[in-house]
Amino acid sequence: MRITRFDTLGEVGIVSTSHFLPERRMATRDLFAEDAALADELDRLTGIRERPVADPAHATSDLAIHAARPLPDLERVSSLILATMSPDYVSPATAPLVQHALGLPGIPASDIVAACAGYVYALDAAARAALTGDDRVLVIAAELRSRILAGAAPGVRCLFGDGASAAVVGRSPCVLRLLATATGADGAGHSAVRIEAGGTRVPTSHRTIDDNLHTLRMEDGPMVFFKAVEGFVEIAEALLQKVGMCARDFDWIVPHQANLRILERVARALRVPIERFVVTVETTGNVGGASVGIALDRALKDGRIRPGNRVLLLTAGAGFTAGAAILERTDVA
Amino acid sequence: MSKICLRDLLAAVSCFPSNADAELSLSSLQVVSLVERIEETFDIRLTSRDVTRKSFRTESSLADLLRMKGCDVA
Repeated sequence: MRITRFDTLGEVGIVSTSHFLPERRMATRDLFAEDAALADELDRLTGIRERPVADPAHATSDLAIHAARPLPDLERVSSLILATMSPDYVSPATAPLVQHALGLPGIPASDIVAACAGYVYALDAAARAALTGDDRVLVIAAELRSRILAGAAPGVRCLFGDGASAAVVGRSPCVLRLLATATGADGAGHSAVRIEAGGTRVPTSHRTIDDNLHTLRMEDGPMVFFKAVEGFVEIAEALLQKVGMCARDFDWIVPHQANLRILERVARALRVPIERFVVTVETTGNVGGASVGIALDRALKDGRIRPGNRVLLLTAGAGFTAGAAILERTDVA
Repeated sequence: MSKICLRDLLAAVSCFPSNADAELSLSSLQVVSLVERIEETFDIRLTSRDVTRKSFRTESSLADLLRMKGCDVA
């Protein structure tokens, strides 16, 4: 695990945020119209009642572009980092498509694949870039997982929503000053949540299509559930110990929206009331790497996160990856 | 304190095995709910290492896990 005290390196943080969710919604009962009892059970297990689903004509880059376009001062952006595990293509990366569409010619643009921890991984990389000379770094996390769920088990299909979040990272003036980050991975669990086919280990073939190996698989749901909880808690405790804080010191905890029961268990483990968590999962579902940025943007825009507030971003995802970040809201409007 | 009947905890998540070695065939919801009930009842914490398919396969395998964790189960 890598922990970085950005507060000792200089002023850096999030300058602006935005997000995009498709208008089309899908309730769990609509997703499993043929089996209402199953839909009800999945609602109880996940706390996810409905999720946004992208227009069939859209791909992940379209969601990313929609999320980034409203951000001010895009012309100052000097590099672009896009986090996704549902890219437009296996190759090339999705970021150059977005760079081109946003009219940012020439700047470096690459993808980060860190699953649900992608936003924090990208934020961490962007802050380093800003401290070493980049004026503004555009961070986007975008997921269109409904496109990779056909044939997946109901317990997997019900989890995910489509959407994207974006942030501009730079030195100042920041809306949220970045104080510290922690990023890490436990590769021993890499096969627990995966898309098996389409890479060099299992190239696409008629058999992989017949066996649905091109879709997202998670065969041991309960193990992943508890592993996710542990991922959230371990990275939080490691980071907080390093900076001499505890979870109760934060005004808001903005977690990856894995599912409601996972978040409730994390809250209990950290001894923080769930009311202090920014929760969107009931209506957004799990939007993978984008979900923490969506929740952060909502809580900023609706005024929950006020000047002086301390915010803890917490993520854990497939891989297993995990990331956490400590932010402080400034007076900048 | 009297022994806690594991079969009562299983019944609370709508699982009714015919005998101690019958496959439980628990759904994810049942496993998560059962873990929460076990933790509350015995005041213990289970981890991802405990919540394995092997441990949750039958009533007797689950009882073995809980005894290993120091729980007094019947």
